[in-house]
Amino acid sequence: MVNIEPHHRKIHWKTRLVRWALLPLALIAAPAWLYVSYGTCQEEGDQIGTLCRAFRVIPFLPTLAALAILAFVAWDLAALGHEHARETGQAPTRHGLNHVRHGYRQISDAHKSHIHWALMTVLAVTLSLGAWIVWLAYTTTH
Amino acid sequence: MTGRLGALVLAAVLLAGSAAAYRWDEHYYTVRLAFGARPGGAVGALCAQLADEAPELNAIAVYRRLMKHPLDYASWSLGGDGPDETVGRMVTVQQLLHGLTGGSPEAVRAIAAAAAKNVGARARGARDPRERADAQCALGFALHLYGDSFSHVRIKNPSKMYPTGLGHFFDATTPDIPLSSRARMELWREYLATAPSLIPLGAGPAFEPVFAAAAELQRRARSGNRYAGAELMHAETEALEGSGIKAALLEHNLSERPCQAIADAAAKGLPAAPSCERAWTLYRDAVIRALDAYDADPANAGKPSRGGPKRAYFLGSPFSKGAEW
Repeated sequence: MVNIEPHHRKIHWKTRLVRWALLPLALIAAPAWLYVSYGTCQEEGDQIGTLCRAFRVIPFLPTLAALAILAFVAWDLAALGHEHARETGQAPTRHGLNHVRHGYRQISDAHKSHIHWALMTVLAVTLSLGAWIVWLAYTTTH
Repeated sequence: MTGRLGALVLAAVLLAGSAAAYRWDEHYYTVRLAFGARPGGAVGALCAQLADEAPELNAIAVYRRLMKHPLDYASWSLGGDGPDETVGRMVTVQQLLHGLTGGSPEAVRAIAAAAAKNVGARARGARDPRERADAQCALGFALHLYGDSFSHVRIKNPSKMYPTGLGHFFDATTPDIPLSSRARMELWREYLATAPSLIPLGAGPAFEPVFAAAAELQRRARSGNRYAGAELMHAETEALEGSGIKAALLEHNLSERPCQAIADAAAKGLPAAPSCERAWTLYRDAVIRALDAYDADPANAGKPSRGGPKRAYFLGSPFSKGAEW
């Protein structure tokens, strides 16, 4: 019998981290991007354009970090799925994604809901951030 | 490679304290050319450039300083208002000196012209050299606003100025570059052709050689050659030298020296150094009067002076707390 509790704990703290830390970090990253870019991108220079394009990633850094954490959640699910397959004597699969699916089926509904909320938080924050930047760019140039 | 990129990022962040409206040198050369041999050209051009050089007056520096007050910055970003000492400073400097009003370019132009005539008359009437220098410096500020009423017109919507706060952040430096497009060159040309009429006494100098050079340069201006900015500057220098004027640009203020220190250093050899404080007070009062008169005229209803919500201007000294507030 696979002990699911350690997997539950890992999934729980990672999804909580995404849900509670993403928005505050995004609220810091957006002004930080403006602060850094505002002076630099209105300077003249050969490398400035390249630099300013690179800076555009700054507001999305928390989103990228959240996606990395969710990738680790997928890793945890895959480990659980793999363990469960071995336990039940199922044929091993080459595709990690299948293990993720199997692992996901093993966890409790409450933990499935944690994952859904974390994904929705990432989606909502990313879309809001993108929409805000597009709105800002449009209203200040048109 | 990573180290080089890191150093580049660090350098860019450290140097990103100030930036221009028209390029720093463009303000300087235009005002110097506009004055021609008339008195006050050196101080007027110095102060026209000072508006971008001095950290207390630079549009970008004041916005970045506001960001160091997170609550006030949030209040400005979310509600368009905030405390006088922080939000008020930023709004006052950006709107009154750099024309970042979000309103009509014609309005900013009319207000700048009225303010320039007011302080110009004062400069002409002043007997005391210090008073004269202060008024000439205030005229330089007014000519800076006049220049920005052209350079801060939105590229994609020429009926509006860029807004207070972010200004032309999303269009990068393109609006500041006279030869970045035909439309921008026409705006710059109009600025150059009309600026001398705001300076008391005498007719304007001959800009034709500069216009001819600009038209020629515009044909081969590309982002790769920085829109022939260096060649345009060369044409302007030649025009100045042709008029017998020895022009000396300020060094770009990377050390963030305060306004008065820059003015004192640059005014060596002149009858009197202008006082940033007194010149600003003269200018601020003149431009607010001109703005109120513009707003009060019903004929201007279709061309608002300001686009967003109107807030009272900061009447304290932008220099009292130095560059850090």
